[in-house]
Amino acid sequence: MADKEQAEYFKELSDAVLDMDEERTVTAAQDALDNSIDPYEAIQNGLSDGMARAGQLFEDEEYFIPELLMCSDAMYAGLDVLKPHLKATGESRGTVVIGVIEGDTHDIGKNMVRIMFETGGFHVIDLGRDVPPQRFVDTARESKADIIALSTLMTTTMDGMGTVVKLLNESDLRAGVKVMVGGGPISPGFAKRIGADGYAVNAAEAVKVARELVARDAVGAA
Amino acid sequence: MTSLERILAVCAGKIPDRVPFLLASREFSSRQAGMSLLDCYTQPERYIDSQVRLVDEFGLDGVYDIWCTPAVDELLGATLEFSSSDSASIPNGSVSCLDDVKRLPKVDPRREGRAPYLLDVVRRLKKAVGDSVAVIAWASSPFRTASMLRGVTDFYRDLKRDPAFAHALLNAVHGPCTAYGKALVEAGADIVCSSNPGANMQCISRPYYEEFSHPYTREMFGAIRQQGAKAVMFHTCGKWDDRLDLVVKENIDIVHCDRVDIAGFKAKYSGSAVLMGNLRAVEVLLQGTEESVGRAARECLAQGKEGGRYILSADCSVPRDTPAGNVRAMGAAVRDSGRYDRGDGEK
Repeated sequence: MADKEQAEYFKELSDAVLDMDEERTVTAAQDALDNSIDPYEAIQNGLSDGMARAGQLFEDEEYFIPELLMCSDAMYAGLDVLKPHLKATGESRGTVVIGVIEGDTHDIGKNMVRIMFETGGFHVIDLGRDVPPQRFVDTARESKADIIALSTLMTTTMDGMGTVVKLLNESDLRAGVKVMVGGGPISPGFAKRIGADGYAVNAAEAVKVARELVARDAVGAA
Repeated sequence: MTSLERILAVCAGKIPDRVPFLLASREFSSRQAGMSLLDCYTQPERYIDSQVRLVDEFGLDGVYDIWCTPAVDELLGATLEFSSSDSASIPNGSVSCLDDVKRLPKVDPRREGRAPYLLDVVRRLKKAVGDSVAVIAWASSPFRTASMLRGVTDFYRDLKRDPAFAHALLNAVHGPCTAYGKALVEAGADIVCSSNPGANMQCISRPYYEEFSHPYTREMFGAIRQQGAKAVMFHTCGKWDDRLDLVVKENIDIVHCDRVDIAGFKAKYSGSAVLMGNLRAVEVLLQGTEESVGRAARECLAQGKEGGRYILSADCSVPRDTPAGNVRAMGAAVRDSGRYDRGDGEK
């Protein structure tokens, strides 16, 4: 083990991400590897911790989209260093299938949510934009997903979210797959009306809601 | 008092005969006329008729042009993607370095690309509604156009990584954006409207807004006013609370607000701008009933009417599938509860 305490390596990784410093994050990741820090721990307690702190600053309106993007660039640069050294444990908080509903091509919000999911420890399958409802359900089945996350910015496409819930209800998957919705015209009331399990107003909140949904499911299954 | 006089009265700080009533209505009017948004780009007469019908049937005080957000972006080299139910969009940025900025073409919106068609629609709209009804036409702000040409996320990164490059791009697009706005006025637009959804307080910080958006918008709107626009309107998409004090200094007459407390806004900014808004477009106008729409409109009027400087509207564009009865209920509310006892405009 290194001269430094393990926690110091994690803190340096976390701080480098929070400070939006790609170069420093890469150096910190390499330093952690060189000193036998477990790469999985370095990702979870270092890089992801930095993004979680960035997400909190975003919620507090101290960080905004440019800052979150720079933090995520630093985090991904660190991941590039650490990931090749991961043992294939497949550990994750769960699998999320995410996409923008059919007929809508606005994907900035969805991309921000994807970043927060990935840094929050979820395995994310991003279907992109303009995605037909059935594809969400099919992909959830194939990937054994825990969550389907749906985004739209348009009132003309928001009903497609209800279609996904309906298709899921008609399948044999509903008990194991939670549905989260978000986007400009979406409200908690709409989410409830279509039978979604969760609603988030922004990317930082989305990852919290996802964690709650997965935890609730785990308790329910116990 | 005519519709246009009513709007200009509140802009001038006078009390009109009643609260003006406007709705950003492209999607709604085209649906009412059985058109897709794509049809708007090929069937100008049908689009114009759909807007005129709104004035006749719903009592609106103004009509809107096609609201082609990326008209200038296309002149500057962006490739547009069209959809039958959404605004034209730009899937990929076309500017990746300073050389690309230097190579941006000099444009004349009166003669090039899709712009002459859009300007002609404004000209025909004005002819159709005459002097009594306001024609409102949309112009892109420099921050928005720069984001589109560069790619939105890359432009956000530029603000932090390479602010000089961001300013170079903003300076390059400022002229074409302004030229299009001025051409709209020449074509007959009474009010030029703009918005900048990527610069709200959910996207960039106030200092960044102050540096990268505010000065360019202020200068552009100033030039459009000088060109003879009777008013300039700015739509705040999303949260803008921490920068409304800057917005009202951008040569703007009307702020079309998304989420804002009407009474709070009026108390702070009525001396600088007219407030337009802000009945919930989705939760109330689209998803509500005629009763709930009427109630919400009267609540807006109760907060906004006193002292003038207020226009009743929704908080964003009217959703395409909004029930016509709900829009009628809003119009009925303004006619019943929006009257001033002794307006400056009364004969």
